[in-house]
Amino acid sequence: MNPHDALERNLAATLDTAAQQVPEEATARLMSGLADSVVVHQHRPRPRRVRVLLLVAAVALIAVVPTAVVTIREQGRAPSAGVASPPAGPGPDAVRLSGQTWDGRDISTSDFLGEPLLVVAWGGWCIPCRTQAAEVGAAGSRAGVTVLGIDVRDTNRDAAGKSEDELGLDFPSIWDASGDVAASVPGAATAYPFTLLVDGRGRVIGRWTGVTDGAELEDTLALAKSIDGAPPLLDGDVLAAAGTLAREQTERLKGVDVTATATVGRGVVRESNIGEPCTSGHVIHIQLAGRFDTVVHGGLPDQPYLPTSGVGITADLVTGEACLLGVSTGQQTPAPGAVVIYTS
Amino acid sequence: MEITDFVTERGRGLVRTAYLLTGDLAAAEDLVQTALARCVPRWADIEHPVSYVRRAVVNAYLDSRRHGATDVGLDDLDHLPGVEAADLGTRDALWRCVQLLSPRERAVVVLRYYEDLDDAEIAVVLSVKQPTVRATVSRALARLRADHLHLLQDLP
Repeated sequence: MNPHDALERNLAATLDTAAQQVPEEATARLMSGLADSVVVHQHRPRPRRVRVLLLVAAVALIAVVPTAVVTIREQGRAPSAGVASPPAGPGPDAVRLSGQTWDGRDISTSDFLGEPLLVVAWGGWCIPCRTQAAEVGAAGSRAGVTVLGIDVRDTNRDAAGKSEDELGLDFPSIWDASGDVAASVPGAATAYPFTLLVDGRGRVIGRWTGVTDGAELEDTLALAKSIDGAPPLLDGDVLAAAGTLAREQTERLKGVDVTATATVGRGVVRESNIGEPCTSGHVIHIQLAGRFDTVVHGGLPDQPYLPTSGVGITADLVTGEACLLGVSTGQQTPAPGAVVIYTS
Repeated sequence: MEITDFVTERGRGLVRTAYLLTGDLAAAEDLVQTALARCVPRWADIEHPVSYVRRAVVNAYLDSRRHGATDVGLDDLDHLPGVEAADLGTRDALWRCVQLLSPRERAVVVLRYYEDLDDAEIAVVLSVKQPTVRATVSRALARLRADHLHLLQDLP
C-alpha cells in the first residue's frame, strides 16, 4: 500500500472522528443566536478608532427600505463638532396639542414638557378605543408615565365625561368634539385609536395605531423614562464618529427612505462576545425604541425582546473602537423618528 | 429556503467543519454565527446556500487567523484545546498535527478530506487557482507526515 494513501485515509478518518466532538445542541445554539440578535459583523474597510472617555456608542435605526439618514443627538450636553444638541425647551419638532377637558379645564401637552408623556386618541363611540384608553392608562400608571387623552368626536359633552367614568380613566383628556386636535398631530393617523409617546422635549418618539399590547407598551415606557432620566455620559467626538459609521452603513442599505434619529442616553457595560474587533468583552448594550410596534435591542445576545429591523453600532469600551454594526431582521418596519437609547 | 430552515438542516455540519478548522467548539460556533450573520442581509440572493455559507465560514476562519494569529509549534501541543496527552493514539496524534498546520493548509485539508471537495471546488472557496490548491495540499501532507512521524516517535 502506498504510504501516501494511508496517511490520506487516516486523515479522513481522523477528521471524521474529531468532528463528532460537535454535539447536536450546536444547532440549537446557532438558532437561538439567530433569533436573539441577527447581528451582522461588518468588515469595515478600515478600522475606525473612536475615542472613548467613558462610554460610547450610537445607533441608527432603520427599516428594510433605501437611503437612511441618521441623526445623532446628544442628550443634555454642550454641543460638540458634528453633533447636534437638542434645545433645552421644546424642540422645533415638538408636538403641541391643546384644548379643554370635557369639564372645561385648559390642558396642553406643553404642560408636561420635561417628562415623557403618553398621548392616546380615543372616543367613547369606538370599541377598540375604549380598550386602548383603559390599557394605556393602566400601562402609564404602572410605568409611572403621565397619560393625556384626546377624546375624539364625542360630540356630547356629558357623554364624554360619562365615557371617562365608565372606563375608569384616571387621566385627563382633551375634549376634541370636532376631531381637529387629533387631526393636528403630525402625520396624523386617520384611524382611531392611536397612541403617541412624546419625550420630554415634546418630540413624538413612539407611535402606535390600534390596540397595543399592554406589556409591550410598558417596556417601551420604561425605556422612554430612561431616555429622559439618563445622565449625559457621552463624548461628542465619539458620537460624531459613531454617527458617521451609522450613516455609512445605512447608506449601504438600498431602498430605504427613513430618517432615523438616534438619541443617546446612557450605556451600560455587559460581558459579551460579539466578535472581533470587540475583543475585550466589554461593550455597550444598546436598546432601540421608537415608532414601531416592539422594543428592540441593538446588537447583543441574551436580549429579552425580539429584534425588529434595525441597525446598531456598539463600541468596545477598552479598545475604544466602534466595532460592530448589526442589522437585525424582523417582520416589523420602524418608521421615521425611531429612537435609540441605552438602558442600564 | 429560509435561513432558519437552513440552519436547522445544516447547522451542525457547519459547526463540525468550523471545529475542524479551529479545534475549539466555542470558537467554531462563533465562527459559524459570524458567517451566518454576514450572509443574512443577502440571504434572498444566495443561490447555493450550502457552498456559500461554507465559503463564508472558511473565510471567516482565515480572516480571524490573519489578525493576531498565533503560530503554534510542536512544543505547544500540550496546550492545544481538547487534547489530553494520555489520549495519544495514532489518530489523536494526527489530529494534533492538523492543528499545527497553517490556516490555509488546514483549510485545504478540511475541505478535501472532510468535505470531499475537489481542487476546483476548493479553489473557488479560497479564491485561488487550482495549482495553488494542489501545492498547498501537498505542502500540508508533507508537514503532516513529518510532524506525525516525529510525534509518534516521542510517544511512550
